[in-house]
Amino acid sequence: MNDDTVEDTDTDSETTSPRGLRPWLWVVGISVLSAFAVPYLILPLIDHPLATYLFWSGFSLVIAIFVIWGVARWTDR
Amino acid sequence: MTIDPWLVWLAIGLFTLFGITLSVIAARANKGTASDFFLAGRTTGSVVAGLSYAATTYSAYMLVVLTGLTYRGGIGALGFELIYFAGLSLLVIFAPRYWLAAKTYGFVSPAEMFGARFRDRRVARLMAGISIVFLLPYCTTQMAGIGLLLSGITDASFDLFQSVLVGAVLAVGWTLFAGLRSVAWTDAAQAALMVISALIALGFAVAGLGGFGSYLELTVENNPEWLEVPGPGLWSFGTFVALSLPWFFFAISNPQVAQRLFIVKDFRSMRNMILWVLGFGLIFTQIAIWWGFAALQVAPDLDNTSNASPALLISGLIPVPVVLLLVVGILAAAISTLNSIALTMGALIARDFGPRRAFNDRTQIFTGRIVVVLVIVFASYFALQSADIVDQLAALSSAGLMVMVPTIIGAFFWSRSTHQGALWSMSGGALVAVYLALVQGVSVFNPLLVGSVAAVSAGLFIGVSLITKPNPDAIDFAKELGPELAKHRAW
Repeated sequence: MNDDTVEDTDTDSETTSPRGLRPWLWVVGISVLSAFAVPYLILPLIDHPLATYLFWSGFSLVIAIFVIWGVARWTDR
Repeated sequence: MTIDPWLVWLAIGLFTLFGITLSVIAARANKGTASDFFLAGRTTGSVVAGLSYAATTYSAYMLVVLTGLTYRGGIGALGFELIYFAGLSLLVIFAPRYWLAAKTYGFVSPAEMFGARFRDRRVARLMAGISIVFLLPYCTTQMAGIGLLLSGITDASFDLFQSVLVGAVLAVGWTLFAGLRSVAWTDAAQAALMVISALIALGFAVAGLGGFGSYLELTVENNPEWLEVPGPGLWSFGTFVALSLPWFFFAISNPQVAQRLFIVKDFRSMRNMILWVLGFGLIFTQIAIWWGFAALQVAPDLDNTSNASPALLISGLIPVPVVLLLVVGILAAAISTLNSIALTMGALIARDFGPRRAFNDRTQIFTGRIVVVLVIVFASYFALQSADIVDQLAALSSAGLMVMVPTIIGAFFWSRSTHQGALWSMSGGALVAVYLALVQGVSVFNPLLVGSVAAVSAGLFIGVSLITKPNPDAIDFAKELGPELAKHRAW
């Protein structure tokens, strides 16, 4: 690996973590924690029979979007 | 209504013929190397790899055990399974690293990769040993799932022994033919069969209950408690955490799925493989949950909730041909998981326990084949002993395999981590899991078990790594793989 290739990559100038990784980790982490906490703490306060089902189903779609975001830039070039 | 056993035999026969044809074609493409036998030559495209991954991970557990958990405890089963689904996000970080490391250094088994990373073969052997110990119960659940299903729909005309025998013969046959190539091809076909047959059967079940609106109304009216957590009793917060947490790490802790990351031919295929698994998981999870709720409406008073799926199948709502299709689909799900695990165990034994110099490609393949047979014989034996503890056994395997997670994360992200840290972490965590579950009788539904295992394995990994020195010849994955990751624009 030469220096030119390294310069072509997207990395934060002040840290070693690649650009976008940190926010991605945050949103995924918060989503997963909410999947544990929300149905037990918040949804019991909502009077809708399908609230829990809709919340978890929405959570799965959000996770799918985050994964697509995470792999979108992968390339073989 | 029950299904005539001869019709079941006929369906299984046709399914077998189809699988054998695929396996024979796959065998022709094999070149006789260990990498070819265990990884299909690292040339698998995205569709086959994705469906094979999906079939390996979404097993008979889905339409037997998860359906049973929904029947017994309600919507919490959806959350539990979706926490696993969320664990697929780990692939964004780990899949490129697994693939690059395996390709760069020629690793065949995941344990081999970590042994090389820490430059200590004991790490690989311990990892392989733990995988084998904790995956055998998981294999047993697949066999038990086949038994419950076939005996359930034929009013026990199909006994457990016959069911297990069918599963064992097919799993052994398709694996021995051409190794991973035949496993992957049959997996892909089986995954498609699983999801299509389940979707059609669910459609008939919902239609039989008066259509989607009526089905929803019935569920809300008859079982409102099942639509919330903790529900009718099963899904307390502690139980939810205890069962879900280990499953979140399934994608990296289970070698049979981690090894799938080695088989794709390039980054594009790996990305598309992950997208295939995502799509499959989204659809199949919803099917399994709605299937459980449908069973609750159709057969509300079952003593053994593992019979929820068979009860719905023989309710009369679903036409016999569709029942047979789904039975074959569930059978396929069990077999695809079983033979993938068996083949991975073969790779673990052949690569991590065999003497390196004496084990050429031919010996490794031979060893792999022997191990495949032994694993399936063991799984069959334990399945015949009891079919009532499937929930607990499957969950214990995930909790046990979780002891490897600190080592896996540290191997890629913490250059300072040491082989001693890995050894202490995995052995300490595994001993705690076994002690608590088998000696103290702590249930896998108790968060104390998974919490203790996680704390001990993580604590030992960090603590021992800090007070010991890394092996001077250890491969620093973070440094070595960094430039390639950047080139492929992966995090």
